[in-house]
Amino acid sequence: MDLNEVLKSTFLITPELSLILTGMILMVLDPFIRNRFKKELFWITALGLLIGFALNLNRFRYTESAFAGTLSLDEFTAYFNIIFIIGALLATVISRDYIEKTALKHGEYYALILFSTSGMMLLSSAREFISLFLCFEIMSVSVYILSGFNRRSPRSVESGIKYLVLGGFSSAILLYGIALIYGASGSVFLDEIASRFNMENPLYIAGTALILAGFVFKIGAFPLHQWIPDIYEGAPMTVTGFMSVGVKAAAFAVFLRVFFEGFSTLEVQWMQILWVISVFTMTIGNLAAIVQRSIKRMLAYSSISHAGYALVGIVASYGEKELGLSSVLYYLFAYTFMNLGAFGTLAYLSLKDRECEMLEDISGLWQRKPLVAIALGIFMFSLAGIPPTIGFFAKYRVFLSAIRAEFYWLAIIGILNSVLSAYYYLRVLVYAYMREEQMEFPAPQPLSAFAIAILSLGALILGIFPLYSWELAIKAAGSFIP
Amino acid sequence: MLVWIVVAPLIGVLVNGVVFASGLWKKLLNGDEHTEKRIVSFVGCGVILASAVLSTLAFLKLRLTDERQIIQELFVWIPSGELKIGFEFLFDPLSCVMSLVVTWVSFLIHVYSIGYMHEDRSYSRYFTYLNMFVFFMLLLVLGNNFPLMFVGWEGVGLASYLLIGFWYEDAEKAYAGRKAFIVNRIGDFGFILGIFLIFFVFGSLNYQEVFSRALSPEFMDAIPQAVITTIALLLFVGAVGKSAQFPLYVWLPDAMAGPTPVSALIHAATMVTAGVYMIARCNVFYSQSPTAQMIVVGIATFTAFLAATIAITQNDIKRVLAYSTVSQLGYMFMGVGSGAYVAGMFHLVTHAFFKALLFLGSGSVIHALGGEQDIRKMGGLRRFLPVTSITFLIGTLAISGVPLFSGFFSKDEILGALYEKGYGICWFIALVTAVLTAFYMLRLYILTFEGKPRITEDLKHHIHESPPSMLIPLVILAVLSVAGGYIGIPEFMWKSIGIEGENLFERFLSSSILSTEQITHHALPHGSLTHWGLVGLSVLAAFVGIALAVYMYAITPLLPERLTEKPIVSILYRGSYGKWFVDEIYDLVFVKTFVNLSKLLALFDLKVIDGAVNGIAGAIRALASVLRTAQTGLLRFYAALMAIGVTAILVYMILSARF
Amino acid sequence: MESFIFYLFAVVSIASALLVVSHRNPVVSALSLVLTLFSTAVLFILLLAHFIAVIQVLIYAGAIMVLFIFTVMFLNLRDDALSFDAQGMKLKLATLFVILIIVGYFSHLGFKKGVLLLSQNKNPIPENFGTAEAVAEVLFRDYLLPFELTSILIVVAILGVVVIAKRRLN
Repeated sequence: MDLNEVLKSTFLITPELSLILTGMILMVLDPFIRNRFKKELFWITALGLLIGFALNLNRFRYTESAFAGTLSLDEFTAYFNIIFIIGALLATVISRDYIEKTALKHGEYYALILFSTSGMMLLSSAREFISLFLCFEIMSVSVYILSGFNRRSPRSVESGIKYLVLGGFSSAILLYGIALIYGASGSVFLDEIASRFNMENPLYIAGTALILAGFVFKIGAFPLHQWIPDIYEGAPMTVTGFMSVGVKAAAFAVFLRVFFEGFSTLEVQWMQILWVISVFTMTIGNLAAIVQRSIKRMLAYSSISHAGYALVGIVASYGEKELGLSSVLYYLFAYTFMNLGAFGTLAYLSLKDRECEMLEDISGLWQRKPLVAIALGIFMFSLAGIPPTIGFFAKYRVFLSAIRAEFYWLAIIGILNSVLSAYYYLRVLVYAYMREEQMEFPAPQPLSAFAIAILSLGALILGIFPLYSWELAIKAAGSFIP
Repeated sequence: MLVWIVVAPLIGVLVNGVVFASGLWKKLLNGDEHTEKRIVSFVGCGVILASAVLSTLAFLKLRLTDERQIIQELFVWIPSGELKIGFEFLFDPLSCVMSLVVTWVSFLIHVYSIGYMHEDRSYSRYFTYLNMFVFFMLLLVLGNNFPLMFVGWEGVGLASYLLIGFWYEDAEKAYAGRKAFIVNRIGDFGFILGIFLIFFVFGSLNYQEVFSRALSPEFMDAIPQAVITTIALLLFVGAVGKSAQFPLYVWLPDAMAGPTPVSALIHAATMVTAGVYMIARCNVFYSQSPTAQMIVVGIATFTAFLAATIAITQNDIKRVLAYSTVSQLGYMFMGVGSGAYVAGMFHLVTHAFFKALLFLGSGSVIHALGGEQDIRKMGGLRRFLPVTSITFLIGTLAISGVPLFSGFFSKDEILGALYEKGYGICWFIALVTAVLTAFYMLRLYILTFEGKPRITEDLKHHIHESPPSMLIPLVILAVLSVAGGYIGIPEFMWKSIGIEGENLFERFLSSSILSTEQITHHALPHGSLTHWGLVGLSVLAAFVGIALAVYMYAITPLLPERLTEKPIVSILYRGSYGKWFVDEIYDLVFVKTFVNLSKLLALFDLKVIDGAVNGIAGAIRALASVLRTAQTGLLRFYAALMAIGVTAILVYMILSARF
Repeated sequence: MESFIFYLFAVVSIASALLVVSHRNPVVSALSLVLTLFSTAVLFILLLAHFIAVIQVLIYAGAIMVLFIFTVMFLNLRDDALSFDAQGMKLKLATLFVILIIVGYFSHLGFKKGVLLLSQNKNPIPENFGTAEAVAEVLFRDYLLPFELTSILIVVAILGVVVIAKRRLN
């Protein structure tokens, strides 16, 4: 790789660089700013994310490879980057008020979000295992710290430590898998691995299995899902929202790239496993969510089941490549809106000393804050997959592709699960709309309200007119299918 | 233009919902309640009027030009491979009839609601829901493909749920809303399965494409008859839920918990007829499946009869009307089920008029009596409520099938069709049901408006005729209940009085009825004598019922009570009064079973799952006696579980790859 | 001879690694970790990766482990704080055992054909393989991006330390 190549590649990753640079600037500025102005660091963060977003849009026009094939910058990358940046931006907006309410630190928080997002963005483009693993760790370590960010809360600290340990465990497994693959093929590049892949060599097979396990952990799917409820529940509300959409989407992105590009020879085998995994993931997530009385914990379990629905799309791509893949991509896009929205609304309703997490905490919401109640209603409808929300359309695509690919049982189990899920989502609304108890709610926070409004309108309007975003997903999937 | 018919109510929803129902106006703009109500009424009724006028214009366009249908394609809604679902509207005679009925009747009921709901503190919420209902209903009616119809279908269900539970502070009313919602879900499940199957078989969901394929012989030859029957029956399951047929009719009587105008609009005139519309729309399927037709007619006949037998003993004015709605819907399904789609639609139209009229009339009574719904505590109200009582009487005569009223023509056509298609038994039961209909309607009228007043003295002084905003819709609907039937006078009647007329309604609708099996009943070989014979029988049925009611309740008012003491009558009476205990049976068979099952599951959850979880946690705690905190223990436990999970994946992968 | 050294140090590294997680005294655990790292360094040397082996000893076994041991000693934990549940170990060891069986099975499968495959791979080893120069060549030329990414990862880690170690303000 000569200097020219390096310079050219550096230009190609300007969206990611803009985030990293903004993070650095924040770290430098932070000590020089007086405490009461620190919340305004938010604006720098938002600016950095917006620049990254704008630069990223450019990527829909070309497919380039940077750093001698290490990164592939295509529409697939661009599509996922949109998800990451939208998630990060809106999470940051809501975080600003949340941090202010709960008296946390602004500077490091924003920097960590930015680093984590840049890690996700690079992850979605990585085609080489060393970079891939490093991006994976950049993303994960930032989120570990964010989970334990509220040091006053023992639960938050506990969540951070648990996440660190279990995440480290999964990273080790992933790394082990990568090492086996490297040992067998002598390369860390996906295309070379794919061309040398040999079913006769057990190292490839064991490596694939271990890498699969590593990704399954991050996706939060059965059988490596146990960490999710505890960690989601303990982490600060906005962080939970951010990681539930960002990290999950990033894990799916890297999963798709690695497995479809690198391990397609073994497709039959890992597809079989994914079939089983997705069935268990959907079902276990749902069953556990039903008995929860804490909305936050319920959403944590529901995020497990949503990972299962998205996996249905991957399995469906076995028969219907384009439809299946684009439905996964679209599902993650839709999930960003509805889940971030749900957590954002809870963050909006949280008080300084009491997170809004139990069902009882939102009693009487409709009487006191009707607009927030409507937004919450849209998110819950969307999560439950009730038309005309984006969640319905996303689920519809996923199950349709499963039916097209003739995975009838998978589709039936998925649909049954999704019917089951309506119970606990709508129960939230029963508390919000039909209970009279007057809980204490925080004062209006205009910026957060704005973000929630965008999310809810997005979840609704994109559900009614899904065409444009759907085409984007098709394009992204098309650019990626070998 | 079509799009505006649908969009106009949506504008109403947005304005009334966002500005007023959300509290924006009251809290942020400090607007006063009086102005709020005026603006809400104006917007709420205005948008419906706009959509009604637009539908009328579209109707005129359809009449005056040669176009058989107007299709407006807005954009591709859901594209994916071969499946292209457009956001497009279809205005053909069938949807034209529906949209005219829906918009105009809605408009009248909106106007009526201004007076009826005036005192309610959730006035703007009410109008928001009502507009929302009209929006979804028009989407259902005007959509040009099954998914759009389904969206409308679900939407009206939602609006109905919200309106039934409108006074949700009352637990019973909220429960009625839930019941309606859940029962409807059962139907919708069948409906959506039907849509899936249609797509699976025909590869499209667009009406024109599906029906043209279903009509082409070479396409249909490749498809087994059973498939078409399955589609037809699955769709009918949806209709059974939405249009309150046996065995899913139980939600409709309870749905009377909503405000009375809502009962008139949603649970009598429009939404519940969606199933009839859907079957008329899908006539191609039904005409090709005699099995499905037979089942539809059978269920419809049974429903009509069952509901009528319940209606004769009920004492709640709205409940009688509710059961009569179920019964009349049965008639409509007999029509569309026996292939007489036009007759079914015709009855739908006339029923919309007279049933809306009856409900609004009952609303006027309830309004006047300050919420009283028990007819045993009414009587003699004609003196106090002259307009209401006359219009109510017109509605009663119309539904009873008295000649020259609208119900006469439409009911007669259905009965005629049943006879000709060879559903002899059904025809007979329908005739008996007609007697019962006339009987219970007259009973209702007499107990409410005639005889000695049974109201309290105190109430007598407060009783007052309703405001003009409520009476004008009543009068208009009364006129329609009389005149509405003349659009569909059958050919043989014209001929008998020596005019070369034809059935206008049938000619207008004929281009929407695509099935090859044409409605042939005016070409009976026996000539018009048979026709007149049939007409005579149904007229006789109406008068028998009326005479019986007059005799029992007006001439010898003590007779009914004495009758109920006789052994056999008393059993029947109690059965009918208890609605044949269907609700109780359902409760026992389904609800209790489910509750017990879920209790069992909860127990399982509590004992086995929680036990296991607690057990494991406890075991770990016990094992780790010097463990600092439970958290670290769990962490290790998670790690162990994960290790097992990773191993499982590894083993599975190796096994499946190597063997 | 080569394979004897390999097996010896492989067994030592696994055994000491087990000791790291199972011994109740943290100082012993830390020292066992040093032993593990040393043995792996030997394995690196066997693979002709001298530079990596040296780095391993210098940084991990040297600097980082010394830091660990100092920290453990500074914390000066009393005995009861360190007490360790021997019974919990059983579950853990059982899990480990299961994994080992699986891995053993898999390596059994692997050795049947894997040896053949590996022996086919007879690329000549480059002249300067394993030297600092060769590592630098690859690291700063071919794997420039991962190298830079590592720096970001370290920045994030530092941020984490700042967040955790910052004195509480209220």
